[in-house]
Amino acid sequence: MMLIFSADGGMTIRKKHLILASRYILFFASIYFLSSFSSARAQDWVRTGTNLGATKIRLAAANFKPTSTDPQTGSLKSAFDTTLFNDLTNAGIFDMVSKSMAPPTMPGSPQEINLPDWAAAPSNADMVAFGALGVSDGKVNVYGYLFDAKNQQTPQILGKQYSDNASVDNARMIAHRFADEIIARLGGIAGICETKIYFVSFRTGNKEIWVMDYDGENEHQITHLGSISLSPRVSPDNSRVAFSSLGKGGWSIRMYSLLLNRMVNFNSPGGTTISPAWSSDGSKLAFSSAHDGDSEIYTTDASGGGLHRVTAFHGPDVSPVWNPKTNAQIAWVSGRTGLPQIYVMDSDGANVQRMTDGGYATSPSWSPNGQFLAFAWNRKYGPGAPGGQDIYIMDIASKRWTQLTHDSGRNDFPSWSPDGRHLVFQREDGGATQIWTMLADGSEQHALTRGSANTMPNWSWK
Amino acid sequence: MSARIELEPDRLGGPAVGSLMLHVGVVGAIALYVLLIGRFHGGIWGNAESAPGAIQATLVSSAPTIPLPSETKPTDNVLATQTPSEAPALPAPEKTVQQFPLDAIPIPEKQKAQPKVKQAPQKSEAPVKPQQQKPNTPTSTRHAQAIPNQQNRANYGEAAQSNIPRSMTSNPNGNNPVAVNGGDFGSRFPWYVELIRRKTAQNWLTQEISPSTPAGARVYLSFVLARDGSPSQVRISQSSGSPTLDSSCLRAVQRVDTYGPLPGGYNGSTLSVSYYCEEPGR
Repeated sequence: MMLIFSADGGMTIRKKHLILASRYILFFASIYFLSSFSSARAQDWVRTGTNLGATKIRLAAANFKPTSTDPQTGSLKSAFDTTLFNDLTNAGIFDMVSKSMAPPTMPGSPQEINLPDWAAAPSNADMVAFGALGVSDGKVNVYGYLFDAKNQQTPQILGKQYSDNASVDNARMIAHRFADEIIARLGGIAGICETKIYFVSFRTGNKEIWVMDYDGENEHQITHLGSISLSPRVSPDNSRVAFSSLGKGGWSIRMYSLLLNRMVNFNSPGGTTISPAWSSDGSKLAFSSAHDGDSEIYTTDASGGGLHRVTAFHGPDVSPVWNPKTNAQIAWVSGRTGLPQIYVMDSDGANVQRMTDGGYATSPSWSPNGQFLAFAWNRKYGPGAPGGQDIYIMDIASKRWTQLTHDSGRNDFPSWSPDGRHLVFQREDGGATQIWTMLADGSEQHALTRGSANTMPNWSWK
Repeated sequence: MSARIELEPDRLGGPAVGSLMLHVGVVGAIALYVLLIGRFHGGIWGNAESAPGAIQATLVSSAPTIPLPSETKPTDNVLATQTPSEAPALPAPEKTVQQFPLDAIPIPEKQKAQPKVKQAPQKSEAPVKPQQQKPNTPTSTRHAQAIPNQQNRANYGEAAQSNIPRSMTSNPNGNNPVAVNGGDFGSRFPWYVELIRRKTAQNWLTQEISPSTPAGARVYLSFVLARDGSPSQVRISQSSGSPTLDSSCLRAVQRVDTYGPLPGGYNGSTLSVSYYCEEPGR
């Protein structure tokens, strides 16, 4: 176009210019076309869309094929199969094919599987996880595959090989890792099967800190202090556990190293100091301390140095929790207007905002994507008031909330899983206090612990 | 020339007093109102009785950014199962006993076994016992209750998905949501295309759409996925005509941090995606 406008003078000259211009345009257009064609080669195009939400993926987990005659094989295989199936069921994004609906075969390798069998009724599977497990020379070897049952040309999505010392715990750990791979591949977010839950248990007669796998297996005692230890919070790198403990000087924050397996130093300020909370980068802790007489929120670095007071109001301020997405905000519980309520502020103490409008709200937990608060709330608090203490989640931006538990005892201390799909919480029902878990939409509630009293769960960060 | 104007003094006394009293009354009423409101309205926050209607209660399904699959169900039937599955429904009973109306004429015992082999006995036994072949027999079948057609049940959540191979559903023809051109990504990694659809659908807040948007309106987006699955260059390639639908779909993609790393078998540096959101209509 520029060439055309720059042309002036006689008619013939203009015509010449026009011809020249059209040639230039043709030339540049062909270059442009060729370049766009070559760039289209470099990357693929897909078109997709939605109008009715997303359904769950229909996934089948075949029993793994035993490939050795070692006497250990049977017990390891059953532990592996059970754990893999349960992990995939717990993930919340799969519609699992029941084992009784699956074809009665144990394909051990891509050559042995007949995908149309799995894609057909009654299993109707979209995806199949299968493989082989063998024990040799004290090692357990697992080959795991994930195939798309309805794609005949290139069915393989995942192929993995694992090897470890032969023990039931290791077989279970391999199943967790394989399940996490499947969940990460099909769900887009890393799975939680290798995460831990820290909690307080009374089973030794003292309230001590314990740890278990996310599915309630493999429980271990961590502290042996012989006093009362509460509110464990594991650091984001899984190296330390901060908790509040009753000692000679009253309540203070103490620190246990999971790498050294012993207590390590933490400069807890004087006065009743409770409810620690890690920032998601592991560099800071927030807690509640009555250092100056009134209970206020403080922040320190990871060793307890650099004490900094954040709140300054009359009335108790406890249970801080950082926004794990930004570490720029803190939610906490304040009793400045009477009954405890959930508040949110910037981590320097500005922009205090009240989140709950009444009742008795405690124990906030911030979701990993920074969007939701989970908390325990008794909306109609008082003698004879209807309803009970239940778990709620609130969308922070809109302050709209959703009730997750209904009519089932007193529920408290919710804690988000790192994938934001699950919550673990404490339920006191009929005198027994146990740890329960559910999906973040309130479905699939089930207990993780049995016997004695187990409270205050905290889901590890990874 | 001067004109003498007779100035009759206004009688201001009465109206002035009235006006003064009215103003004092208004000010007094406001003061009293403020005092009473302060007395009765203060300090209600944090009391056991909460302020009614301050916060809106919403259903679980309105929190779609929890990374869980949530579908817009065709029915809000509370009796629908919490965990829908494609497992086939329980087998229907083989044969239901024929129900007769209570006021039907009782049929003799022998006659009851007859309808099973209706045709044959009519031929062979009719000459033997003509008097027993009452016109009752046809009426008994006429009054029989029809067995409900099990195929027509609206068993939501139990119906099987289409058994079409996923690679075939990625053809761009017809009304298919998934379409591919320019490469074989869609046929090699249909699970990743499905993942894009699933994650965007989960982050799409349909309540942001204006109710006036007609059902079936579609907005087409285009964006580019890097190797780590993070979307960029999100833009509307074809508007639906509804600004709320356009922006809700745009935000759905922007809300996604990553769709998960691109499949290892894919060699390209980026993946171009065309995505549509269709107003489901409610």
